[in-house]
Amino acid sequence: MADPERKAEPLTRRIFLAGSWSWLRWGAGALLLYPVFRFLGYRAPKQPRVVKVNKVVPVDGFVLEHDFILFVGQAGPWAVSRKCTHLGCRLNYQEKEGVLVCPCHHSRFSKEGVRLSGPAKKNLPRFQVAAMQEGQDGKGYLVTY
Amino acid sequence: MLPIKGMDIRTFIVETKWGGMSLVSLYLSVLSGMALALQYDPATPFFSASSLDLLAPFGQFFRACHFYSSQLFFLFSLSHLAAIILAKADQQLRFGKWLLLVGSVLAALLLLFTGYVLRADATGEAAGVIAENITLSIPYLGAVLNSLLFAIEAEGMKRVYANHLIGLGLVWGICCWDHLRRYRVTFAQHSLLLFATVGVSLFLAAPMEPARLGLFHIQGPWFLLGLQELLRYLDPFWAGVIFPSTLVVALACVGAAEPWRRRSLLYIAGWLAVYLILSVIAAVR
Repeated sequence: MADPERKAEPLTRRIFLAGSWSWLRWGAGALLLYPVFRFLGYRAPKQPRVVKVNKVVPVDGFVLEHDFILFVGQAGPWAVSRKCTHLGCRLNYQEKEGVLVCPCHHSRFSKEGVRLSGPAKKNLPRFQVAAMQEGQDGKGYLVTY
Repeated sequence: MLPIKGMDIRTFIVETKWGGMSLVSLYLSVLSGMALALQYDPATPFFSASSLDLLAPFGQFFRACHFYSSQLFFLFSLSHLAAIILAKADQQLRFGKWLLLVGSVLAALLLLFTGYVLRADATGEAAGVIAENITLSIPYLGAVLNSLLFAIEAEGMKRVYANHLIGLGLVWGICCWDHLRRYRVTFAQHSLLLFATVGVSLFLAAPMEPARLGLFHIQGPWFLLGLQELLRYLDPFWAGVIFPSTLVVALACVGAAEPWRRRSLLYIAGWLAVYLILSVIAAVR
């Protein structure tokens, strides 16, 4: 408990300057955090990736790549991301049931990337696919994402 | 060391030298980790980790030694914490120091976790992206925290490796600095534990689960099984941030005076019971 007899020390110029100097140092320290966080948080813009799938896939067939799965149907090829929209785990294709399954929390998606069940809330992103002409770049597909 | 006749479980927990065993396991973990770090390349994490097992002479031994000693370090640390709480030794510490020691448990957990991530097999890769997405679910601070801890999507294993190697070890060291200044533990004091860990590492490889076609179920590290199960039912922010944070807050409050200490211990007991049930459900899936 403070001594009631003891009077508060008068605010002299020396005490004021010393206190201000201490606050200034704390403020400068806090300000230094700003460039640190800005620096760490910076992300260089992502370049679009183009992946060449060097094989001809038969109708109703598929190719599993690291980041996507390429399907070929009657209407042509399409590719969906293998990254689960729940928490990012890599999906696998269950051929028997024709669904993509997340091994972590068992969200399920159709071949077209539509969410069917599980904790994921969104559909899978679809990537642009171009069929390569024979003779120029070889046979196969170009997938951009 | 098993409970001997006439000694109850409480006495066994309180009187066993968990802290010393934890520290010796850490010594072994650091030494084997230094050997691994000279070979491991974060640019090709899975190739690098599997090459250690398959190609590098004694690589499998060093990886196993690092894995088992790190597991023991964490388990003995938890036992040490339980012993301290049972003996009410936390009440002799200043609250600030208690908070630092609770922080060291968190740093140890993250050290163990980043080790799983760095091997980049199916389990490690999934654990990494889940941790990143949970961190990103934190409002306002998520992106900054993710930059500090993981950033796997943008940077691969670079930051996780830096944190595993330096950052988290430094945080653990700062949290335990004052605590460890008082105790000196040497290898010789726990030679049996040392021989057992090295012996097991010679014959039992550390786990590695390559990603493959038809992999429809991945089980996370044993200490995150409950969390993996909870993430099926709750939003990532509630399951992955709020739920675990309440345990940390309760642990911190154990160092406070009564009645907060007793309330916190009751909460921790309930939390652990729920987590155990969730872990069992996840394990039998």
